[in-house]
Amino acid sequence: MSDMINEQLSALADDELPRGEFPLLWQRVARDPELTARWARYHLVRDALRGDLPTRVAPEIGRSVTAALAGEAPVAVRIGWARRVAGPAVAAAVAAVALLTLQVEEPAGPSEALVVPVTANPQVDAGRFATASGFQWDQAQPEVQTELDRYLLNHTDDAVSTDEVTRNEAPR
Amino acid sequence: MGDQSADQALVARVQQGDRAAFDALVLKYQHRIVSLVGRYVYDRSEALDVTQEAFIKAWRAIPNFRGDSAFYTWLYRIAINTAKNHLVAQSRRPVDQGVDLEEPEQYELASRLRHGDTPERILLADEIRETVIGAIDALPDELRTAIMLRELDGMSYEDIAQTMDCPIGTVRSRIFRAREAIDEKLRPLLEE
Repeated sequence: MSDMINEQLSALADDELPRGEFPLLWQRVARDPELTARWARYHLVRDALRGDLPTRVAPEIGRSVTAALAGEAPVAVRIGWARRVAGPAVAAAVAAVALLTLQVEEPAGPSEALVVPVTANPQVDAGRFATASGFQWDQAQPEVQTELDRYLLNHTDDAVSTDEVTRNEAPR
Repeated sequence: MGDQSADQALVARVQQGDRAAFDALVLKYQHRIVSLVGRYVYDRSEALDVTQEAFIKAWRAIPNFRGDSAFYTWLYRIAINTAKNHLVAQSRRPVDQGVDLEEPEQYELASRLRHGDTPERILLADEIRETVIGAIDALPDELRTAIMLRELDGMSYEDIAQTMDCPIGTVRSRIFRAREAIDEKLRPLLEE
């Protein structure tokens, strides 16, 4: 059994392990320091044969990196955090740029003073976006208008969800 | 691994939060990165610090690694940039990569003493290489050929099977048995 595992590890080092054998092998490697050490030695041999070793080899460098990473947040957690923050941040930035750009253009006359944006989401009260500022989208480019409307609506949704996330997260 | 390399499989694990998978990548590339950084950073202790820093940067950036390049190519760039940033911070100029960076004995000893390394914790590459080559020389022909074709020529199992006129499973087994024999000779050296 042990030889079979070690042979799989050897094949993994060569990128020759059948894909289906990886998950089970990895479960063992991840919790067996001897298999991890063997993995390191297989690559040490390769580096030695290919002239990739430094003049002086410090076998403990891997351990020092592991120790240094002990205080780091797990990757998956950081991905989740980044996604939660990045989405609303991008939406907010785009909406802000859109608003600033459009506010430069004053309405042409009283007859065009109030245009309610088309809403993709009927559950959202579109009127609240139109009443305060009195601007209008460029009617000559309806696709731009639709996009900008969507950004505004998405931003509203994201802003709410960000608040909820912030409230629900435990302090780090 | 079919259409997926070991690195790809390990990176996917890391991106799911598996720290042990990252440790495996560190163990796989640690010496190559130390060697690479050593071309820029003379001082061994500093080179080890820069290597560590490069791996930490890789850990932090790996959620954004999308596999457009090979993992080692990506890691290589991080290590080079970290070494160059270190040199800028130290107000030193990078050393030409073509220069032989072997250091005088006196520097080696002074460096060891200065940074508290003990001889037991340092292995000379030559020592390791000699042990490995000695172990390979002692192998039966079919094992020696298989491991040499794999490690020195970088041939795939399929190509080795054709060259040696045997099934792929036999190649896998021969390479493994060769590694076991080499490992038996190498382990005591690393444990000393």
